[in-house]
Amino acid sequence: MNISYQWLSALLGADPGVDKVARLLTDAGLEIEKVREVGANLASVLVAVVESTRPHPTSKNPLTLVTVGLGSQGSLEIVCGAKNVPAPGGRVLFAPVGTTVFTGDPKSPSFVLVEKPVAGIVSKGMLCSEIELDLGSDDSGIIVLDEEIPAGTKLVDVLPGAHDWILEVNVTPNRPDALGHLGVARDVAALLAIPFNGVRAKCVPSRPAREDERVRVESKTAACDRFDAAVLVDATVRRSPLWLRSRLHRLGLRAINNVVDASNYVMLELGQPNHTYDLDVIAERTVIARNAVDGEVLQTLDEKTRTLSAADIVIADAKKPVGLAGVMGGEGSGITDNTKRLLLEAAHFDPSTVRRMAKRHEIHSDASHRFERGVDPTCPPLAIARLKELLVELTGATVVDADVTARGPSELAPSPEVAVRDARVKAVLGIAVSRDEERRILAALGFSLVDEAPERVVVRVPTWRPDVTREIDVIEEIGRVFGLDRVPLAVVPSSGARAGAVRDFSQRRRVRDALVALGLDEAVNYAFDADALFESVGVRATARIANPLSSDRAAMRPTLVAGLLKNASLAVRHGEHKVRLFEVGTVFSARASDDPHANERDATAANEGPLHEETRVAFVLVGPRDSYLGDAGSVDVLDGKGVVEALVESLSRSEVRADREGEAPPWAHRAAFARLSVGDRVLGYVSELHPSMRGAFRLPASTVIAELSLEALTAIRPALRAIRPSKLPSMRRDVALLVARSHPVATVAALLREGAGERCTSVALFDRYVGKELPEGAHSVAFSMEFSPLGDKTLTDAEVDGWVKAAVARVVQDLQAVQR
Amino acid sequence: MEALDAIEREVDSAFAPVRDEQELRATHAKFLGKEGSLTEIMRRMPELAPAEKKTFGQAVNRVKTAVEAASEAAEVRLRQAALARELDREPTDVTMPGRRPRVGRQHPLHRVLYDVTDIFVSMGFDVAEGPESDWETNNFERLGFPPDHPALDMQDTFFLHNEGRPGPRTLLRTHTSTVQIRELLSHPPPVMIVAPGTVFRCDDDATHSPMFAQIEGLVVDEGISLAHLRGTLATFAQRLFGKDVTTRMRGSYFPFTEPSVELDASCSVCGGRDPHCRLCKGSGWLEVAGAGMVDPIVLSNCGIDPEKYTGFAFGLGIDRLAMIRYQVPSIELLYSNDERFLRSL
Ligand SMILES: [Zn+2]
Repeated sequence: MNISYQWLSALLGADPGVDKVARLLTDAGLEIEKVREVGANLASVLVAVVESTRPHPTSKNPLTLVTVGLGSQGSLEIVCGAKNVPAPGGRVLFAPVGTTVFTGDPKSPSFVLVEKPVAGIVSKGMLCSEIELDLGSDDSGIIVLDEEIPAGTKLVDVLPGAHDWILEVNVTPNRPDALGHLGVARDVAALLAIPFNGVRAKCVPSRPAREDERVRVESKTAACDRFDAAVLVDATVRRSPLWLRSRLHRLGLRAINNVVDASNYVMLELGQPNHTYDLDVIAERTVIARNAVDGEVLQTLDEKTRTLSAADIVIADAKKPVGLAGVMGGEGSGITDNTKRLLLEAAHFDPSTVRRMAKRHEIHSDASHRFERGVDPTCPPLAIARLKELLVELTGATVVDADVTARGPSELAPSPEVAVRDARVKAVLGIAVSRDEERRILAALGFSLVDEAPERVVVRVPTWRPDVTREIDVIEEIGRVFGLDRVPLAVVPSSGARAGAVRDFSQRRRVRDALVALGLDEAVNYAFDADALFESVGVRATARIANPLSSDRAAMRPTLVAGLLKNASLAVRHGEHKVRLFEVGTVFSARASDDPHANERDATAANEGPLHEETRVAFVLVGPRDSYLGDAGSVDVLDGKGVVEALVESLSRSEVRADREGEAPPWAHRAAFARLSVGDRVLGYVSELHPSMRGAFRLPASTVIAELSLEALTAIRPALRAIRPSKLPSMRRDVALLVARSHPVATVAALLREGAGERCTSVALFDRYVGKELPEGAHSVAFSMEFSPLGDKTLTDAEVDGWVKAAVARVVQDLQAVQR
Repeated sequence: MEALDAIEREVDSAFAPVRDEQELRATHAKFLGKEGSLTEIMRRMPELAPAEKKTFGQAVNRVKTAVEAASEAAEVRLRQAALARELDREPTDVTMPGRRPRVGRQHPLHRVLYDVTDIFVSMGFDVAEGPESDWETNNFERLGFPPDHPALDMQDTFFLHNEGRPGPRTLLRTHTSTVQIRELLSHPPPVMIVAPGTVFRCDDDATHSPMFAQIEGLVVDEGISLAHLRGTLATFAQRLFGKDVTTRMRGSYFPFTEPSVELDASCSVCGGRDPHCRLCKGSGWLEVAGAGMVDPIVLSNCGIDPEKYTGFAFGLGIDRLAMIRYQVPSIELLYSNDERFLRSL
């Protein structure tokens, strides 16, 4: 909502200063997002009278040389490109050299006028259009004033509020009263503690109405509880005077004609939307608020044809709808240049009904914006009176005694009475507010005192505050005017209460920290993406957004892998050949209907949501291993497995087991994947990316991915027990074996360990060799075996050699291995 | 005796040219090894007369000592030479890069999220969480959003496909305030939690991301007032931005708090003195949190007596704090997962 400081100031009868007003309003909940100074350039602009004109002697462009009189400042000849230069005697606006003028072009919005020749002739200024003076949006020609103003008069002396500040107010949905200057002025007055009398309409003379000037109004719907109408005759529809056009322009509305402009002006003043009709096109001079008939058609002012339903409320004449109630008027009943007789309408509509209509028809109008928030239901008579006053002045019309008011089928509930306890005010605000101050604040905001007792007051809420219905709402009003910044600081006495709604916050954090420590970078992808993205890794999304930003952002991610591959792909495209990315995040799937958490009540009680949500841990490795000035090769599935092993070691000091069981994910490479487990819990899979999926991401063969369950990763937390390290040295023996590759290395190692007996504390592969000189299908594997002493008994070479021999014998026997 | 003198004269010149350990041992053996010249002489000792034995023995010992001393000196010389050789090797070009383990980067959003959480935890808050998908009952109704109210427009909502299931509509939560409901339903007061998490709004432009991170705070107990809210957020702002930071509290509107406030912190960069400040844009203030006293209807919707208990709630945008801390030029970068962006922080 744009608020004119000058208008506000006029309503208040005070000039407290724009900065102060902006600060006070912001503190009190009407946040001023921006203050825009306008009209600072108008100080030098003068009213000029055209004395004579002649065509430019040389220019091929249609330029006119205009001699204008500036009163005591004499006459000047000005080059003018406009086509609407008036005949001698006409009044125009003259901006002398030095004035800032506007271009209407956002790229270079303004410049300062300098004396420079136009087509060979030097002017000492220019005759300006509305755009050039930023007084309107009309660029069809220069401003020609209708008013009789002496030549040489300063514009600012005849244009009230020419130099103004526009306050851009962020009006929250609970403050419909602040959608007009009146409501904002009331707040300012309360905050400044100055008297404020609101807006009053001057009584305008009227004459008795003839029979054909009488109108009939009726409300047949509960959604319209009040409908006021009035009639004016002998109106002249024309352009509004400059003060009105410029004011609307500055507040963001387009000036149309004096009737529509007056209607908008009243809306901006009171916050009451209203409408004017050409009485002569209203069938039978009858206006009815009613439900639309299913299938009824209305062309609205935005030139769209709308098919209505019974849920819509229309304003109709005796034959057809003429407007969508509270939302938008209809084409054909509006004001034209030929309109003579005006029907004024100001009504009150049910907020929810208007909101649903506006949503259904996808219209967001100034009227619907206000009605859906709740307009003061007692405002229509004042709006009608102000409209009459303005229209008589602007159109020269005459008011006839044809005012009518229709009431809806149900009476509007009176505004509530609310008891406010002193103790509660203090308990909520944390500071006591004196009864005197409380009464002053409430009175200034329009609350009337109904009853008063030592410990409480009872007040009636003003009709323009539909959001205030309870004690707590009144306390907020007291607080925001009293000054929330006066609330002191207090320390919460810690209750030591533990959270009840607990999920996996600390587990996510531990895994993130661990993966960062292992040298991976963390990604955060959107939880939704294109179906096609997930399909490109062979996974189908089962949960989706009904109203996505675009159809390629509708699928809730069923896997983290796709997003990470997309990220890796981006990095590779940017020329990065080494990628190490992980993500810890939620994946989503639709619940089966027999899922115990499929209904809202049970799921909420279990701190679950409507979708099945699971936290996963995923990473992608691409490109060469970390190395230095040499080729360490590219990553493969064992690099991925290593990350998981290190992760599990750092989380729980546990061993990871790999096998090729279970159902491998579609992105797994069948020759290079592993199912990883700890104990009897499956963590997930690690694999080189399936070759057929590399193309879509333009990733190299050295792309390794893993996706694991956070729950499984963090579920195992064995109790760790410290060992007392032996003071005696352990001993190491290396063993090389030639063995068939069909025997997993883990089996070989396990047999060695088994065969070596209980003093053997570790068997670690340290070398593996495959070569042509080896027997077909065999490889050479070398293990380092460690033996640790027990107690204070030193190991001897002889006993260790014996154990190693036994171990080797075991492998030789079981796997037909050959020691090398 | 003469032979002994000859050996003695030989000692120094024998050890002088020794160049390495092996030569040293050989030279030493030339005198004192099994076949060594001194050993040879000593082997003849028993043949001597007892009177001669003493003098001769003394002489042999003298020569032996000389040999040992020369050997030792040569050894020291060798050690020093070796040390000098090692130290005088071609120096390593230390301008070459170090062989370093790769250092991972935690996402900036999570760094800020955890820092913020830690501050509140240190103040006595526990961490609560709820699901990212939810029902409109928990996201709106129980939080006191009136049906068909423009307040719903404050949060453009992603609804989920319900697949024709009956019951309230399902959605992606628009705020972490859903956790207020879930926490309040989980146990009776006192409640003192922060709830960090991901939220979603149907909004995508230069300043909005359709997914972003929030942290919610909720305290419900007897005797909690707006002063406790202010004290809590002021302490938080000082711990996050610096101890000289002051706060201001101003009116606002959220359907689930009453009164509603915005809490601003004084600009930690310019203190309000720079009209072109990159952080506060000259206003001198930074919006820290939307907050307020828990609306009584929220408490009663969760079966808590609002006459007995009062509480406050607040919500902070983690993305904005991350953008401030790391001077992130646009919000979409936070979700770009561009390695160049991630590794710049
Ligand atoms: Zn600043």
